Amino acid sequence: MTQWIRRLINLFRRERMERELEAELESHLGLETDRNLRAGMPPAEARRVAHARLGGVEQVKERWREARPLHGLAASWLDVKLGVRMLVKSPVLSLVGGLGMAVAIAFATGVFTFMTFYYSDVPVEDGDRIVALDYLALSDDRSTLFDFQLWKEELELLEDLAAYRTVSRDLESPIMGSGPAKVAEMTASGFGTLRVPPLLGRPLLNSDEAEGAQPVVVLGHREWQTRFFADPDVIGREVRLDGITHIVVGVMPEGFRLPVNHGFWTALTTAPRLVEPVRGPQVHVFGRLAFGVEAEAAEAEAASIGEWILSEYPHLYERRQVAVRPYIHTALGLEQVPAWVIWLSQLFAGLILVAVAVNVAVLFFARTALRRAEIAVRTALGASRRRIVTQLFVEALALSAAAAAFGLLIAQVAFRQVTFLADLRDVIPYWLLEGLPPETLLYAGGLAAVAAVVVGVLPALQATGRNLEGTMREMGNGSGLRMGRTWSLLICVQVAVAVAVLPAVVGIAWNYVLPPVTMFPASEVLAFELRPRSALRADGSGRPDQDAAYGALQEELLRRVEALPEVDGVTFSSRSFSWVYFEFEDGTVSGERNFSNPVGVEYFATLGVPLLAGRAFDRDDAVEGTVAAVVNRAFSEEYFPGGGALGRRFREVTPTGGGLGESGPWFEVVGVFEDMLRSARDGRTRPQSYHPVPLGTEVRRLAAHMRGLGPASVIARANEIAAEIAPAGFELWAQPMSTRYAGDPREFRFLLLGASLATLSVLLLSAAGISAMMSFAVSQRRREVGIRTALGATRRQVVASIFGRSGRQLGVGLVLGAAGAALVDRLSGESLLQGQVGPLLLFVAAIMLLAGLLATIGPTLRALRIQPMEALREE
Amino acid sequence: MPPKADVWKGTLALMILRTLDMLGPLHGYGVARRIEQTSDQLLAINHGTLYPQLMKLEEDGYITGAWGVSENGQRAKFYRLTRAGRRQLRKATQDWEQAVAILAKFRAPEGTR
Repeated sequence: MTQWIRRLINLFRRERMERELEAELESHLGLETDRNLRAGMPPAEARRVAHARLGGVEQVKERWREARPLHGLAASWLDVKLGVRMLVKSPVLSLVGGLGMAVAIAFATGVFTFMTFYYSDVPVEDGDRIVALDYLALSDDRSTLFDFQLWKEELELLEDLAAYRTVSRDLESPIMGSGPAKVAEMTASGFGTLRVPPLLGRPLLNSDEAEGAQPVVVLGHREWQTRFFADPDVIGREVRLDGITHIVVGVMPEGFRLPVNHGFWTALTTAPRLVEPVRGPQVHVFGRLAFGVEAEAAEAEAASIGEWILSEYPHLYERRQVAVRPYIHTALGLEQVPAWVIWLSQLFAGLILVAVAVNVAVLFFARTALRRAEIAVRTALGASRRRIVTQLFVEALALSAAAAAFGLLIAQVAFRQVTFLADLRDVIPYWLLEGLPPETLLYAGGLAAVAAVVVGVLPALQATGRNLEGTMREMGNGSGLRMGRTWSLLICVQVAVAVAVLPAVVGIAWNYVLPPVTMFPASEVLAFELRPRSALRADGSGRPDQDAAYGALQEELLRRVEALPEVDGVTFSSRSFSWVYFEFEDGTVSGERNFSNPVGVEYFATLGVPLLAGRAFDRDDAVEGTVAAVVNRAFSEEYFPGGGALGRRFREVTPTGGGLGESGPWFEVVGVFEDMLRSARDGRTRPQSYHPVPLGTEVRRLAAHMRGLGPASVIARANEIAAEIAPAGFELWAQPMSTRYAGDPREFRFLLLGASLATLSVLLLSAAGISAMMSFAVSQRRREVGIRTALGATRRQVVASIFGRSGRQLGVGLVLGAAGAALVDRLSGESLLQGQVGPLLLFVAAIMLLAGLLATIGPTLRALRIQPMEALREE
Repeated sequence: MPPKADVWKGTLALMILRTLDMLGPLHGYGVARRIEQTSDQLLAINHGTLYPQLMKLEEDGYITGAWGVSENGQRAKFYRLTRAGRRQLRKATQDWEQAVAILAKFRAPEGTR
């Protein structure tokens, strides 16, 4: 033990110990020289013999370093300094290699983070035993209160079954005024399942669930702190949720926000009238596996109950299969994702990093080879192969560690952006939102080590091969050709992979970030509607029924907005748009499903969509049994090429379970309108049909054409109207259609940044690879270039010979890559590149070519500076 | 004069400890000379290997060094055995004797084993 402590201390005394050793060796040489003098040797000879017997001061020091316990560690400190110095000395190589690895590490870390989510437990006592019970998401079927009640009564292997749903409420408190609040309506059993006692007061009780019971609310710690100023007497206070008075009965401790990310809990009413099969409020169900019970056993038990219920209600429960999954899988919607998919994606991400690291290794190899003189000197001074390999490894580690740090930063920023942009903060369980989990630090460290092995050790081993002198001689002569071939091949492969993959990346990013082109004056049209603050359907607990009353409400809003002086027309689209096949009179059916939209009669006039042929709807069309329909340009061109759409008949086929389902009534095309939106990239859009419906319960979204005063005043007026007519729990949503289709600029920037980073790192890596390769080739061919120049080769010929070589590599790479891109496109069913293979390939190939040729300029200039006499004298 | 033998692997430490045990504090050069003398000049000690070994023994706590003045008036580091070194010497000597005894059995004539 004391030995180890001393060794550890000595690790930090290394320089002092080295100085002492030097002094000791000096004293040794003095004593030996004296002895030799006494033996009659002349002074110079006496000193030389003493040195010879000792074997050289540097060599002894090197031997001491290697013999030291933990010497690897101690050696590393010096190497780290050396490594950092080397990285600073070749900034381009460091930047290019570092950036490439950072992007790859960021990607792998992202995938790893997802994996930690997949395996994360609920942060409560025995959290690994908390499971969710639900129907596999074959459709939108979720469990209902009925299922919950049934499971609660029948299941024995699951304890403390609880149900909740998330609702949004208007919170009014006497202290803080009002504001929206996300509330978990949860059965009282939920607090028992999670086994976290409240900080103040009491949790929900079974008696709170009863219909007619005094409504109560439990507060989250943060909400108590921010909205109630941590009032110690908050228990017993009244707050109003959507106008209903609730009594605060408890405050939960800090860090408790279950089931997902909640700060308010009210009792979920399980009144008998709400409990009926399939209908009734949809809920999330969770429970605790009984001690020693596996999830599979609980699932089997639930399945047997499922069989019973299927026999009772065959038509309702036909396609429902119950599953017991780790809580987190259900929370993240991963019920159907098996673990191997997660592991496979992890492997894939790791492979990407290895591919990048191999690339960087090529660069390092070029430099290592160019540093062979330095390596030879160190070897002659007594450094072992291990020592040199260690040094190069540490050098690479310094780079990969920096890359890992940057990669982690990228991953962290991306994580925040993604959760923020995708509005996931309400959906992802709160304990996953803290940022990257601490394990990712370790993971990124491991990745950095692996990358350093690939980048540092492999080139070092090759460059310091057993027969170093021989290798050096080989490298100096033309026989470096063998290595040259390997390199050429690597560069070709790299260019090929870049060309094959980049178009897809560019294509996807392009496709995703570019907003569609609107073919009507979208900035003059305001889209608006009244939205309930809750995402879930109301269940009758004091809120207006969405169907009838909501329709009437929307209708009133529409009428009132129509009367505004700033508005010269209103219309609406219906909620019941459908995703259908089209069947035509000759019996043919469209190959793919498209949208059928029920809209208001004035829809096209209000939006200002140009009419291409026929007529718009009129009042008579919007009555029961109408047959009039209009279609867009894409519909007309797709199904009636040649322009004969007017007067033709079609009907809509709604698919059901196994295939084509029921057909609707026949429609007759009375008009063809311009496409409303087109893809910005290929100008295409989907065929769509429209038929008129009367204003009524189906209203989905309202639209008003504005008289050119800008949306602000109309939105303000609409808000006033909404405040007048809408009950609590509803708010006005309004946006000019141009804004709606403009896409989210933050999302745009984020994606653009991500795609640019990836593209840039690939390009830089390729360019750097070619440049390093060419530099090496030029340094190898000094003699050849010298002789050719001496024999009268012109500068032009020298340039042509260097560029010819890189040109050949680029060319082969580009051709292979183009074939690869075409293959990728074919394999993806031409969906990845959307039929844009040609232009995208040209674009990427041009950039690669440019990067490659630019990278050749430096080495070419060096070749031109070769003086024949000097080059020949060196040999 | 027969060619000098190299120091057998792993025995240098034992020789150093034994030398310091017999002669008391000694500098590195003295230790090297003494080992050569003790072996009747039959062992060629590579002075370059001696110092790393001395530093390792010091690091292990078997010997301790202090700077002093050598016979030619120069600064030199004098090593002496520590208590742990003495224990280690006893143990290493026993191990060595045991190894020698085992080897001796192998070279004893047939029938005397």
